[in-house]
Parts: sequence; C-alpha cells; structure tokens
Amino acid sequence: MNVLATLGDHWFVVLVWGLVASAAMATLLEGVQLLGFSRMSLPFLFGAFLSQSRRKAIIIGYGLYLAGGWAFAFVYAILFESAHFAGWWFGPLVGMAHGLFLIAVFLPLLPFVHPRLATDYDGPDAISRLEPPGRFGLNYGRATPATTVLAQTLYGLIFGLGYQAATGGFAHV
Amino acid sequence: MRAGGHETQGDDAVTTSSRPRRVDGYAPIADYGVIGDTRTVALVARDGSLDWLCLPNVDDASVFAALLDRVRGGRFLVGPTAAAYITRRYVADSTILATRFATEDGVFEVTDFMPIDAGGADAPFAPARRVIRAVEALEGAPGVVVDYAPRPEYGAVVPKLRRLGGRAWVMADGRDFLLLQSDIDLTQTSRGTLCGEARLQAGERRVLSLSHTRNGIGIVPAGGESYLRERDDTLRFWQKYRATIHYDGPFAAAVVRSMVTLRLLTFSLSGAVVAAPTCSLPEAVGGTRNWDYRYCWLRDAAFVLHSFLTMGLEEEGAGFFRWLTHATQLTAPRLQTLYTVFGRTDVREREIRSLEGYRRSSPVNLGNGAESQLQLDAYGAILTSALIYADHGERLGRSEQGRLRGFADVVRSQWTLPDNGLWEMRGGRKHNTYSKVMCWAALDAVVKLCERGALSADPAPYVSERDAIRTAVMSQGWNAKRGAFTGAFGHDFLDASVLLMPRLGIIAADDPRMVATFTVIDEELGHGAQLRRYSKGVDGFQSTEGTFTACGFWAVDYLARRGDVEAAYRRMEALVSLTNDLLLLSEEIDPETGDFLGNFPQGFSHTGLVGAALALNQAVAGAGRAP
Repeated sequence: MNVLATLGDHWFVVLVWGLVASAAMATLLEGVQLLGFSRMSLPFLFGAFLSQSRRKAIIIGYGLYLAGGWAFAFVYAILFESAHFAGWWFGPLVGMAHGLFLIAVFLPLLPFVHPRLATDYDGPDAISRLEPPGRFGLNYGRATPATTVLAQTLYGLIFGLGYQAATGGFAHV
Repeated sequence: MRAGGHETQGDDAVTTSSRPRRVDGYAPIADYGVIGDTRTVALVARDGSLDWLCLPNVDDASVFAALLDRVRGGRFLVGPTAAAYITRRYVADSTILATRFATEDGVFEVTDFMPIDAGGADAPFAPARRVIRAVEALEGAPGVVVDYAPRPEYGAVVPKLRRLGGRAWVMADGRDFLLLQSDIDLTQTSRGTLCGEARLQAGERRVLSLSHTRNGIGIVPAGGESYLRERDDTLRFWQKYRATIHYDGPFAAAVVRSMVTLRLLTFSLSGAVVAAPTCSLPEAVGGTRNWDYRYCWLRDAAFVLHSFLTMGLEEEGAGFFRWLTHATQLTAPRLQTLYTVFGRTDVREREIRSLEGYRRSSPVNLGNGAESQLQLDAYGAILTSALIYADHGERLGRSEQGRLRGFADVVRSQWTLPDNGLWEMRGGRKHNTYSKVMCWAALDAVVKLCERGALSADPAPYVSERDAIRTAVMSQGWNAKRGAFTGAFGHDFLDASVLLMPRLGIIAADDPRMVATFTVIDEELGHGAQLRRYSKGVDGFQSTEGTFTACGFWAVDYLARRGDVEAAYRRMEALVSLTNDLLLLSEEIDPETGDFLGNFPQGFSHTGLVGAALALNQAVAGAGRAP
C-alpha cells in the first residue's frame, strides 16, 4: 500500500500518539528545568520568534511546540511506514537521531536566524535579547545535550510503541 | 553616635557626609544602604561595595555575602581609586541610592537600584532580577575601580566566569544565569574575580548591570543609556507609593522612609513582609545571637498592618492580610511562629560553615529554630490584625471567619499554658506576661468583631475567657516586690513589651500600676531614650546585647498615650537621631557606641517608629498644641 494512503487511514492515530509523545517530552524537559539540570525551553525559544513579550512567547511557543510535535509525528510515521517497522527500539533510534540533530545543528545555528537571540560575538544592543545556546546548547547547562537527546528518544519510544499498537503493527514483523 | 548628619537636598530625601571606615574588613552595619525590587534586596556600603544580595528571592542563597565574610562571601565594588569624601542619599523618597565620591582628581556619583518593571508579564523580555550600578563623572577626572567577585551558595562556590560578547561576563549552569554587563573593561584576575579601573572625564557615564534568571533562558538586557528608562520606571513606582502615604505629623521624613522600607520588605510575589532581608548579623559582635530574619513573623503582623492601613496604604495592607490568612491555612487552627515568604513552614535552623560571620560572629545560621516554639502572642497578632482590617472597612470572608474562630478557640483552650514568648527565649517556657496580654487582646478583638457584625459567632464564651485572662494578668503579672508588671508570672525580671499594654487596651496608660511599671523599666532597662528589651541574663546568653530599637519607640508610644507629649517628643527626637544617614534602623543599637547590631534594616524597628509617630501625632492633636 502507498505510504501516504496508509497515513491517510491512520491520521487520527498519528494525532493522538503525537500529542501523547509531545506531552511526555514536554513534561520531561520542564522537569529537567525545574530540577536545575538545564535552563533550555524550546517552547519559549519558538515563541520568541514571534513575540518579545514573555507571556505571549510562552503561550505561542507551546502552541508551536504542539504543532511541531504533530508535524514530526507524521514524519516519524512516514519513516515507520517506509521501513515497515516501528517497535520498541526503532522509534527511540529515530528520536535519538532527531535529538542529536537538534543539539549539533539546530541549536548552534539558531542565533543566526532567530531575531531575538544574542550571539557570542554581540556587543551592547538597544534591545534585550535571549542568551544564545552555544555549542550543543551547553550554555543552558551541562546536562542540556543529554536531556534534549533523552527527551527526543522518549518521544520516539512513546510514539513508536503507540503507533505500532494502534495500527496493529506491521505484517511482516 | 551618628553615622553622619542629616541634610535636605532639593526633592531628595536625605543626604549625609562621612568618610568610610571598616573594622577587620567589615563596614559598620549603619554604613549600609538598601536597594531592592520588593522580591529581593541588596545592601550597598558607603564605600560602594555591594556586600549582600540573595537571588532570585530574599530568602534564597546569597551571591554576594561580604557582609558575613569579607574574604569568601563575595562582593561587587564600584568605588573610587583614591581616598574620597562620600555623600549619599535616596532619590526622591525612592529606594534608588545615589552615592557621591569626591576625590582629589574629581567627583563621580554611583546610582544603585533594582529596576521595577512597569509592564508586568506583557513587557518585553527582561531578566527576572537586575541590579544597575550607573557611574557618572561630575567634575574633574575621577578614577573608578570595579571589583566583581560573585560567590554563590553563601560563599561555598567560586564560579567559572565566561566572557560573552564584548563586555559581558556570564556565570551559568543548568539552574542559574548571572550576567554582568560592564562599560568598564574588566579582566579576570583569579578564578571568579573580575577587576578593572577607568578614569572618566566630567559628563562621562559608565553602566554596570547585573542580571539573573533562574530555571530559564537568560536575558541579555539592552545596553547603553537604556537604563535611564528603567530608572524612571522605578522612580515612578516609588513616587506613586509615596503619594499614597497619608501622614503630615512630626518626623515625617523618618516615617516616610520607614514606610518605604516596609514596602521594600514586602515580598511582592505573595504579600508577605519579611522581618529583615539579612541573616546572622549579630545582636552582640563576637557573640552567638545570630539569626536568620528573612521570614515573616506573625508577632510583627499587627504592627505592620497597623502601619500600612493607618497610613492609607489599603492595597499593601489588604495584600498582607490576605497573605496572613492564606499562609496560616497550612497550620490552622495552630499557628507557627514564622513562615517563609510563600507560607511554607520548613525552616529548620542549620549552620553555614562557609562564612565566618560578621566580624567573626559565628555561627552563621540559616533557617530559624523559633519555628517550632509555642508563641501564644501570635494568636493575638492575627486576631488584632483582623480587627484592624475590618475597622478599615474590609470584609472578612466566610472561610477567613472560620479560621479566625479556630484561632480564638485555641486561645481559649491554651492561654493558661506557658510559652516561649515574644522574644523566643530558648530556655524553658514561662507564663510570659506579654503572651497573656496578647491572648486577652485576641479575645477582645473577637468580641469586638462579633459586636460589629464582622464575625459570625456568639461572643459570650469569649467575653468570659477574656475577662479571666485580664484578672490573671492584673493579679499574677503585677509584681508587688518590683512595683511593676514583670516579664512573666511569678518572675522578677523586667520586659519592655509590657509597655504595649495600654496600646492593646488592657489597662489605661495613666493607671498608677502602668506609671510605676514605666518608671521601673526606664530606670533598669533604659539607656537614654533607648531601652533594652529585658533584664540582663534572662535569655541565658553570656554576651550582652544592645538596646532593642522597637522598645524605645514603645516607650514613646506609652508616653504619648499617657498624655506626656513633651517627654514623648523629646524621646522620639533622640531615637530618630539614632537612625543612620539614610534614616534606616537595625534591630538593636549598642548604647555605648551607637553602632547598629542585629539584622538590617529591621521591619519591627520601623513599625515601632511609625507606631510611635502616629501615637505622638494623635497626642499632639489631643493636646491641641505642638510640643
């Protein structure tokens, strides 16, 4: 069966388990913040693209974060369908790769595209900016790379298991 | 005795002159000025050294604590490179502190403040907490020195500082982001320490900004002259507060500064009022009476509320009363002696070994062991607060009424028990006279609340119990041998708190027993206008503490109520002259040297000043003439 046609059949599963996986990932990352292991907040960073008000940035950011969680759920589902495989280890593997991309590529490049993020080379400016993430997001705390990869791995695990269970698994597995 | 002289300069409140002096590296407590944003507070010495700052909140761990350890505590100095003649003032009744250094090479001024955001949650990104130290050269070419040495966790951590961009330095981990932006070039002289010097020309400005964020992405505030907008916002906040203070009686400058200080000690995130923003400043230098006062004591409640509401500060008063009833929910109907700013009760006392203590007065204690004591006066504080609140036209909700009835029932059943008393003595419990008087005041307040329809309850049982307490106080509190009401039933020691009996209404101020009590207390506990709180040795400590600042004002209150306006005025005048140059007060004063002792600035002392001024003002109005 065509991958996209299959996704069309399973869109509700993708939305539900995408939401569950996003919620679990957000809970883990918020917990990490509250416990003082990392100060990174992806929702706040996303929201700050669109607003310089802290309150609005957090509200908008969580909306974008949820939308992003759903969008990536479709990407993960396409991967699973393409590979005809999900299961307990493939989902986490995809999540881990996603997490590694985030800390190695996305975060270090973010200051160059984010309108309100400072860079390590900036001098005094006329507006307040956000602290840059630095290499692997290490500016936000030493545990940031590990917790980010862990959170994405958890997302992959939950979505992978949920998707497999809800769609009845893949015939040849 | 004074740290400096009071003068008036234009619209600004107070200014004074003095050369800085440090003993063993420690500035006298009176040399400190206080700045804050009503969430945390910093103490800045006359010589320009910021020696105390806890982040993010007033009861969190310190980042700068040279106040308690000149070497390990950490400090943030912005001062002159050469000997200077120093004057300072608060700008227009605000908490913006301006310190002027006059050296042989020139004159410069440092303006210290913690910005108060005008925009709330919708305002542009701003750090959670910020200290701004703006330097402006006024004459000649003065030299400015900066020494920045943050030492988080009460001096236990020597942080790694990382350069961020051109002139910013950051100390960050997974929890905290502390950023220093400096227009003066700094170099790292040793791990965790930055130093720099600059020679400015008249008219030149340099800004140093310290920003802190916890559990979130750090904010890098705008640089340059943008601090002027924040200074103006902060000034507007304090001027608006000042405008709501209704007082036109004697000693107005001291009263206004006291009210501003009480607002500074009011924790905006909850409405709680901390006793003082410091911990373990000693009540006797070299002694062990070193306590953490960054909590809210119920005993202070009625004094604080009375000050706010009588001065017309309805919003602050209502906020504080709401906090009182909210915080005490956790333990109701029992009351604990003290609560954290968020109403928590886990404040076990522990020693901090990383700090040597102010002038080696150890131990440095965190938390407060008094939390587990029985203080019956706390019930009186809450219930008389409710009466003050209701008398100002505020309405008590049903749940509040229920809790107040619960407190009143505890008083009815427990007033006969011995307790630790107002002064939290750590020896055995006694039948403290003041505690019994406050139990009487508690039930008297309940009866009045019932009579005025503010509280739904049958007043009869409270009336009978109230009268029984009064009988006990008048018979057992009175000590015929001493010819005075003494500190506890069956004891001979004196306690200045009984001077509050007329204020609470249990006895008239001109009752011969009160007149005799005042005379004996003034003779035995008095040092000029000041009073010790109780007879020497009663608390079991070997060291001799100073006079207790609030007690001196209670004497003024008593004299004013007795109608002795002249004596009250003279005493008030003498006591106000003991404030430091910024009109701030500590908990105690060394009667021999005039040095401040104990935590600083102390809310209890400032409520004492306000209460005495109000009583005096009323007495003056009653007498129909100025003293």
